[in-house]
Amino acid sequence: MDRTDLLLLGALIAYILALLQLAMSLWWDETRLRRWLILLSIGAGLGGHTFWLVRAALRFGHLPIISTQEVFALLAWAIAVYYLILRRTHRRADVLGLFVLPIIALFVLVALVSTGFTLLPEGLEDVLRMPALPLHIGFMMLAYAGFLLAFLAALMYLLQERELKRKRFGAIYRYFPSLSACEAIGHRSLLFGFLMLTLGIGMGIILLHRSDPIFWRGDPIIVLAFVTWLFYLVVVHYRLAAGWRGRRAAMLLIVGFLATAATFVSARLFGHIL
Amino acid sequence: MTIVLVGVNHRTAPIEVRERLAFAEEELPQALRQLVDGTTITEGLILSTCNRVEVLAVTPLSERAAVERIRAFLRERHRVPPDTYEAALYRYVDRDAVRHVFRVTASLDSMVLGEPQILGQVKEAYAQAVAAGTVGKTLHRLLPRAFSVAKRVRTETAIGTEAVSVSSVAVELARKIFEDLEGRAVLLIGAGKMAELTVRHLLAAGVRQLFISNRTRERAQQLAAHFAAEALSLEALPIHLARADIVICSVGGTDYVLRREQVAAAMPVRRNRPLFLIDISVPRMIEPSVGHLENVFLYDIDDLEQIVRGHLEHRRYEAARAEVLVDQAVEEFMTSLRRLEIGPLIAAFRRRLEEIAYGELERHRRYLGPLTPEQERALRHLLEGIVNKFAHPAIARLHQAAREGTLRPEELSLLELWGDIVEARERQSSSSSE
Repeated sequence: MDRTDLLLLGALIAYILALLQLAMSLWWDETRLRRWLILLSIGAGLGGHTFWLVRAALRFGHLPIISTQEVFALLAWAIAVYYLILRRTHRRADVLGLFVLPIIALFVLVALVSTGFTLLPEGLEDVLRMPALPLHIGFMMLAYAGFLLAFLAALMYLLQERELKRKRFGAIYRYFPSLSACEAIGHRSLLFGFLMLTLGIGMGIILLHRSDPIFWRGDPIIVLAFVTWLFYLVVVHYRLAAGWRGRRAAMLLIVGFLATAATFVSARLFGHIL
Repeated sequence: MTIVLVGVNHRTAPIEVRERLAFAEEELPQALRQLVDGTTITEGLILSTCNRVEVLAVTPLSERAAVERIRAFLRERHRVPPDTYEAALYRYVDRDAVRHVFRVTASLDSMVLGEPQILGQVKEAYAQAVAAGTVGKTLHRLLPRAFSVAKRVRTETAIGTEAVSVSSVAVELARKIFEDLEGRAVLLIGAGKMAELTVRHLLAAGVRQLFISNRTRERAQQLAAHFAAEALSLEALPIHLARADIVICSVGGTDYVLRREQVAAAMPVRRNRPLFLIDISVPRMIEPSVGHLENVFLYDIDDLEQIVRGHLEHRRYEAARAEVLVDQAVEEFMTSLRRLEIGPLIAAFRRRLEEIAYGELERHRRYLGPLTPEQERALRHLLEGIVNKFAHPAIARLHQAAREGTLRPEELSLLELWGDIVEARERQSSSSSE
């Protein structure tokens, strides 16, 4: 492990501490102190995390988006940023941390154990130095974060709905937010993700336009990105215009996220850069 | 010093007995002063609620005498034949009394486990006793400790978190669907005590808009006027279904007032916002298959009562966890009481050792001949040095054990036994010298 990786290790520990604090505040009592400690832990983790990303960018002279390590670290970073935003805007969003924080911690762990070895595809240096690229990547990562949280909120909605329909109540009933809170969190995250995706794709088009078409020609990732965007466009439209709510709307968010995740994974497998 | 508690509660005595033993708030100061005379009873507190009457006292008397003294007090205060309540009286001493006070305050002894009022009632009783000047250092330690135990039970177990009545369960469910009840609309079909109670709970939880419909229009208008609501006819129900978020149905009859197709037709108009239906009528007046519709949640009276039972069951489970906390707190408290008592014992121990040493010196003085003041001083230093060196490990150990709360009962009783022997010998020597 590199010495700079200590920053990432520190971030990992901070995220895990935040998770423990959150579990305690759900199990016992949500005191002001615990709430503050959770924010402090996430904030500290995010600080170390950001610093690590900046160090990596300076060291390689380009954005840290090539190696598995970098991509996972960047994704975890975007999720943490959006989770913090969501906590500020919706008071019941904290419970999502039970799922989000382990995912963040897992991604950071993957980043820690995988190598920082970077093999730069030839001819890509120019693209990597384009000012639109960091924006493109940043927007895309935040879009994934938004869709991930929308997915988790939808999952919580379905689980809570199942308890209410079955009339048999357990821990889910007790600790998960109400249907309307899950719905609101999911809706907000969907809109955020869609906005970010739109901006990200816009930046992507600028990049396509300016770079050598040889790298992009016939790339399925571009088609898939547009399909994803269209899908979410339809979902957003029906939610806003036709009032799609509840169970089916939640299932759409789940399907949408799984499709997006599949796109992302296949893109990584086939060695494309998103 | 002994802590004694004598009383009756909802389990040992019926209401006819409890009401006769109860103390009205205005007679408490006088009753407390009558109880605590400063010699037989040094500290006292009276807790009188609708479910219990308890007298808590600190006394130098023996356990039996103290209980007798409190029973006499009850006989004097209440002109009731004692045999009507004597059998219902329970008595707890020292450790058991402390445990009982902790359990009562933490609502582990309540009729509805975990109900929150009792803590306030104990606090009130404590305030009354403090005002009447009948609280000394023991109760000043015991009661605040009981409050913190109660708080710990409340925060560390889920004993008071769930609703345990049908109407409060309805509100809890509504919150799990809608989160905020403010701005939600409620439709009440029919009337009836439980339905009204549920409406009251919902209004208290922030519901602002209420529609009422009934088979007889006058009754609907009457209720509507009472709640400042809008009265509807039964025929208008399907239309208003689209406007309501929560429907409470409590109506008689032979045919369903809400059918599946009516509710299904209302859902698109509602833009699929969830609809919470509570049918507390028997026979059921909302077609049961309505509950299979998407985004519709239908609960009948059996469902609600089953939830209440489940919650009570959960409270009992949580109460078992709370008992562990209480046991632990009782041990800690008893140790801290012993720590209070150990100071005088240690002083007596050291004093007695010194007395023995100087006594031996005087006994052998005649063999020593005349002593210079320097020799006299040296001898005293010698004796004190021996006493100190002899006593130090024991005293340090006692202090440490008391500080850490690890003092074992047998150690303490050994010390007390030793104190008793000293006392007995002193009595003996004083009587033989007479």
